Amino acid sequence: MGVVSRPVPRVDAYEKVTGRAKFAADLYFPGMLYGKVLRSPHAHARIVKIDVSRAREVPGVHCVLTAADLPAARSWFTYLFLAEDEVRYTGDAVAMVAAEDPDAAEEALKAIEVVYEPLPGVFTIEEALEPGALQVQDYAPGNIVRNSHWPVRRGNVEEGFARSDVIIEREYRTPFIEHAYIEPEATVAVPDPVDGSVTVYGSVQNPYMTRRYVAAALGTALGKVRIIQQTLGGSFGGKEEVMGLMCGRAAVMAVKTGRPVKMVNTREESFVESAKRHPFRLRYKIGATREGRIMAFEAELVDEGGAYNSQAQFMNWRACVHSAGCYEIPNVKVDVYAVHTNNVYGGAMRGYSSPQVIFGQESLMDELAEALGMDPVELRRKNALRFGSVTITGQKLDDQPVNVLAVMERVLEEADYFNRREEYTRQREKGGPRRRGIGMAVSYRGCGLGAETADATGGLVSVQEDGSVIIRSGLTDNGQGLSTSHAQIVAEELGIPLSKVVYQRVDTSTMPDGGMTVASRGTYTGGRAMLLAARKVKEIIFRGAAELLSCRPEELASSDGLIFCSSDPSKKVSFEEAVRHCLFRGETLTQLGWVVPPELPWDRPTGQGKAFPTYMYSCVVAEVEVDTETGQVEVLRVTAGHDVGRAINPALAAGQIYGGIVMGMGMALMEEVELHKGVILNPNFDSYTIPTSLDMPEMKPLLLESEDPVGPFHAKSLGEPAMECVAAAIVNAVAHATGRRVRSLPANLEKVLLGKTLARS
Amino acid sequence: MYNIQGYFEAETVKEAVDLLAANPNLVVIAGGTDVLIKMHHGQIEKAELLSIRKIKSLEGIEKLEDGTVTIGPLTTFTQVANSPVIKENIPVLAEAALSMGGPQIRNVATIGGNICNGATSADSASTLFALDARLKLQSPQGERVVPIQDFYLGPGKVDLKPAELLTGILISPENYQGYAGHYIKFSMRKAMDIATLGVAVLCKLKEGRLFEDVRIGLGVAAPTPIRCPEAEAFARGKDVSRETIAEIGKLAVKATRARTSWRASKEYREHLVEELTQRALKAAVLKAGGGEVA
Ligand SMILES: Cc1cc2nc3c(=O)[nH]c(=O)nc-3n(C[C@H](O)[C@H](O)[C@H](O)COP(=O)(O)OP(=O)(O)OC[C@H]3O[C@@H](n4cnc5c(N)ncnc54)[C@H](O)[C@@H]3O)c2cc1C
Repeated sequence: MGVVSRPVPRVDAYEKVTGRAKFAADLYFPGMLYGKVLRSPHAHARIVKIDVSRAREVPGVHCVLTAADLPAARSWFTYLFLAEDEVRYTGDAVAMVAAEDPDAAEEALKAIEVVYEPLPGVFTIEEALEPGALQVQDYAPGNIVRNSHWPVRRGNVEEGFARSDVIIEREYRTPFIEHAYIEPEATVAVPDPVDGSVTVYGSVQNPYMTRRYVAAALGTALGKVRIIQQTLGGSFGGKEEVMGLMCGRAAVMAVKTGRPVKMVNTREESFVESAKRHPFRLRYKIGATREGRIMAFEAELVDEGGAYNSQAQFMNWRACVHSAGCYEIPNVKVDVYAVHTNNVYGGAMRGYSSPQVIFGQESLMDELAEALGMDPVELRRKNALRFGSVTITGQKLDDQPVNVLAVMERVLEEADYFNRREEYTRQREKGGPRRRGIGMAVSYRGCGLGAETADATGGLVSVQEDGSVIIRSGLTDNGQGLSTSHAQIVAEELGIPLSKVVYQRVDTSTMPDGGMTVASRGTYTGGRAMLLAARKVKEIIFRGAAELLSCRPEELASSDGLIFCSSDPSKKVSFEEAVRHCLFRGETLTQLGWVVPPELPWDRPTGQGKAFPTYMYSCVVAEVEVDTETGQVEVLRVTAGHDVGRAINPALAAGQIYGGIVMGMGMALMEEVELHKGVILNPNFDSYTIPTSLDMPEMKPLLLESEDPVGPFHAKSLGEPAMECVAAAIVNAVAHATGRRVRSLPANLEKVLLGKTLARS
Repeated sequence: MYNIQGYFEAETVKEAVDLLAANPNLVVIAGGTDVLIKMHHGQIEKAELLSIRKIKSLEGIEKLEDGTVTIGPLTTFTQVANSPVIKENIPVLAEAALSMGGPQIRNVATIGGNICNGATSADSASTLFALDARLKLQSPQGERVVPIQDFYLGPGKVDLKPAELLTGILISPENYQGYAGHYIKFSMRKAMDIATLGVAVLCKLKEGRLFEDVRIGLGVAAPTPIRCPEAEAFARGKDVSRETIAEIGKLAVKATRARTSWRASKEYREHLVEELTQRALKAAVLKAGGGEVA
C-alpha cells in the first residue's frame, strides 16, 4: 500500500496553519451589505404588532423585512425564516435587515417596534406530556414530534421478567448540549442580476439541505440556487437547520436589494438559534438471571425536540436500534419518541442520540452488575453480541466479524483495567478525600445511514491532461479530514502521488445530491463512491496503457505515478503519458462513482429488520480522581479502542479519537445549556464551559483493525463512535470512585459532591 | 457591537486625569479585557475611550527602600507572575496571577483593571485583601491612598471618584514579611474560567507551632471580595492543629454572604469555603515552615 493506511499530512493543512483558508466570514464582495436578524425575547408569545417604519429610515439601511414580505415564511420543514404571528422559542426571528455596515443594521434592529403578548409555554418533557398541556405545534397532538415514535418488540418481556432473578428500574437524564464549534455560522448570498439565480457561500455542513431552504425562501427552483461550501470551522451536526435559515434569509435580502448580503452570527446568536443535542429522559427496566444472563429489557426513551424538529424522526430510529447496547437479549420492548417544548430545538450532534442512549444503558449495565453482585465486565462478557448473534432488531450477525469482545478485552488489557480496578477499590476502602476510580463502557454502531434512509452518494474523479486529478464529492469536509481521506483513496487506487490530487469543495451545481455528511459516512460511504469513480477511470487508463505497452490491461499495476506490467516492471509508462494517450483518442477520464445502498428491510411496528450492513465496535476505559470534599473530578487517563476496519489515515483517525474523548468528557462533567423559561442563561463560553487543553486527560487511542466487507479498503465509520461511549465510561468511573451514582448529566462538581443539581437562577 | 465614538490616548497621569475631568463620559481602558466584553454585551454603549497604556509611569513592580512593594496598575498578569520581586517577596500573588485566564489574556489583562473592574471573582483581589494592600488614587484634585477593603463598594462598584485614576498598588513590608501564603482558585475547569471560589490565605507562625497571624481573603463568597475577621481573630495565638484549622474553616463561613447563582448554590459555596480555607491554610502552614497538618 502506498498512500492509504499512512498518516500523510492533511491536504488542507498548509492553508489552515498559515491562516489562508477562507471561512465564509472572510469573504467580501463589492457592494456587499450586512444582514441582521431580530429575535424574540420570549419563548412563546403572540406577535400583536410589528412596526418597521422607523427602521427603514435608518441611514444605510437597504431593506427591512418581516414575514409578510417573504415568498415563504416557513422552510421546507417547519422552521421559520421569520415568524408570522407567533414565536415558539427565543431563537425565532421576527424581522431582518440589510444595511451598508453592521452598525447600521444593528441600529435598524433597535428601531423595530414589536408588541408581543407573552403566552405560557411548556419547558420540560414532563410539562409537554401532561394531559391537556398547551400544544407547541398544531400538527403535533400531545406534543409528540410527528413520526418520532420508533418501537422495538422482540420476544415477550413479561415472560422475560418472570424468568429473571434480579430486576432493576432506573431513570437517567441528559441535558441540552451545544456543539461549540469554533466558527459561528456565516454566509454571503450573491445574486445574479442577469438570470435571477443566487450563489450562496456558507459555513454549511449539508449544502443540498441548505439549498432546499434557500429555494423555499426564494420560492424558486433548486437549479437556480447554488451553494458553495466554504472551509468549515467545525460543525458536528450543528450547521444544518440554522444554516438553512440563515442562507435563506440572506438570499431573500440579496435578491430584494440586488446586492450581496453577508450574515455572521455572534456567539450568542449562534447559541440561541442553533440546534442542540437532544436531552433525553431514559427510563429502563432490566432483568437478569442470578448468573447474569439478561432476560428482558424494557425502555422508554423520550427526547426533547424543542419548538421545531426535523431530526427526531430519523435520530430516534437510530436510538431504538442501539437502545439495548451491544448485547444479545431475547425479550425487548422499547419505545422512543420525542416531544415539543418551547425550548431551543434538538438537532443532529455527533453520535445522533447514541452518546445519550449509551450513557443510560451502560450506566444501567453497571448498576445491574452491582445488583447481581457481579463484576461489570463479567456481566458484559456474558451478554455481548458474538458471531451469529441476533441483535434486538432481529439481525443475525453471521456475515461479518462481530468484535465486541475482541475490542473490549484488548482495551481492558491496554488500560490495565483489572489491576487498577482492584487497587482503586482497595484505596477507596482506606478512605481519604481523593478517590480514584476506573470505569468502562462498550458500544456498537451501525456504519453509515443503514435503513434510516438511502445511503447513496457520489464521487467524481476527473483526470486532467497533465495527470493531475480533480475530485469532487457531494459530501463535505467539515474539518474532520474528508478531503484528505478521499484524496488518499483516489491516489491509492490510481497509483499516483497524493500531491497530484486536487480536492474541490462541494458546489451543489457540479455534483448530484449525495445526501448529507452525517452518520459517520464520509469515508465509509463517500469513500466507496470515490473508489468506484477512480476504478472506472483506472480501467480506461489501463486500457490505454496496455496498448502502449503491448500487453493486456489485467497484467498492469500502478504506483508512484507509473503504470507497469506486473510480471515485468521494466515495461512501464508514466501515468501522464497513458492519460494523454487516452484523451487524445477522445476518451473521457471524468467519471462519476455512485454507491447504491443495499436493500435493508425494516418493519416499523415491531422494529425488526436489517438495520445496517455492518457495525463497528468500541470500548472506552476512563480513570478519574474525585475530590470528595469538593466534588471535583479529574479525568486522569482514557483508553479508547475502536474497531475501525482499516484506518485510511491513522493520524486523522487518532485525531477523531482525541477529539471524541474531550467532547465526551465535556458531556460527562461540565456541559449543559442552562435554560430558564426558554431563555438560554449561558450563551457564550465564559459561562458554557467546555474542557480546555489543560483539562485533557492522558489519552491512549487504539485503532483496532479488522476486515470490513463493505467500506473502501475495509474502512468503517469512526467520527461518531469516537465520542459516544466516553461519557458513560467516565460516569462509571466516578461511581467506582465514590460509590455513588450520578444519573443525570453533567456529573458536575455539585452533583458529584452533594447529589444535587447546580442551582439555576 | 464595538461602537467606539471616540478614542484618546494619554501619556502622563496628569494628562489622563485632566481629560477625564474635561469629559465625564470617558471610559478608561487598560488591557480592555473587561471593557471590550462590556461593550460587546451592550453594558457600555457608544463608548468614548481613554487609553492609559502609554503612561509608562503606571507600569512595573518595585521594592522601595522601606520594603514596600509597589505595583503599577498597568502591570499585566504575566508580568506579575514573572516578576522576581513578587516571586521572592510575595509568591502567593504570583500564584494568583498565574491562575488567571489563559496565557493570551494574562499577556494583556492588567492588575489595575482587575481591581477597578470591581468583580468579586477578580483573581488578584482576594490575595490583595489578605495582604492589606493600599491603593494610590490620583485625580486633578490630588492624591489619596485607601485600603483595598474600602475601595470595593459592591458588585462591579468601586470607590473611584470622578476623574480619578488608580496609579499604584502598595504592599507594606509588615503585611508580607514573615508570611507564607497560598491561593486556591476553585473553578469548573483548569483554565479560562472565572472562579467559583477564590481563597487566599496568609499565615505567620511562631516557633513553627503557633499561629501568630492568619489572614483569609475570599472571592465570590460575597458581592465583593472579603476578609474573615472572626476566623482570623480566633486563629491568633492558637496552636497549629487540625482542630484549630477546622474551626477556622467553620468561622470563615460566617463572613460570607454567598448567593445562589448558576455557578453554584449558596450551600455548596459555603461548603467550599469551609473546606478550601482549611486546605489553603494547611498549604500555607507548610510553606511557613510548620509541619504537615493531616
Ligand atoms: C477570556 C477572559 C478570561 C478572563 N479570565 C479571568 C480570570 O480568570 N480571572 C479574573 O480575575 N479575570 C478574568 N478576566 C477578566 C479580566 O481579564 C480581568 O479583570 C483583567 O484584569 C482586566 O484588566 P484590563 O487591563 O483588561 O482592564 P480593562 O478592561 O481595560 O478595564 C477594566 C475596568 O477597570 C477600569 N480601569 C482600568 N485601569 C484603570 C486605572 N488604572 N484606573 C482607573 N480605572 C481603571 C476600566 O475603566 C474598566 O472599568 C477574563 C477576561 C476574559 C476576556
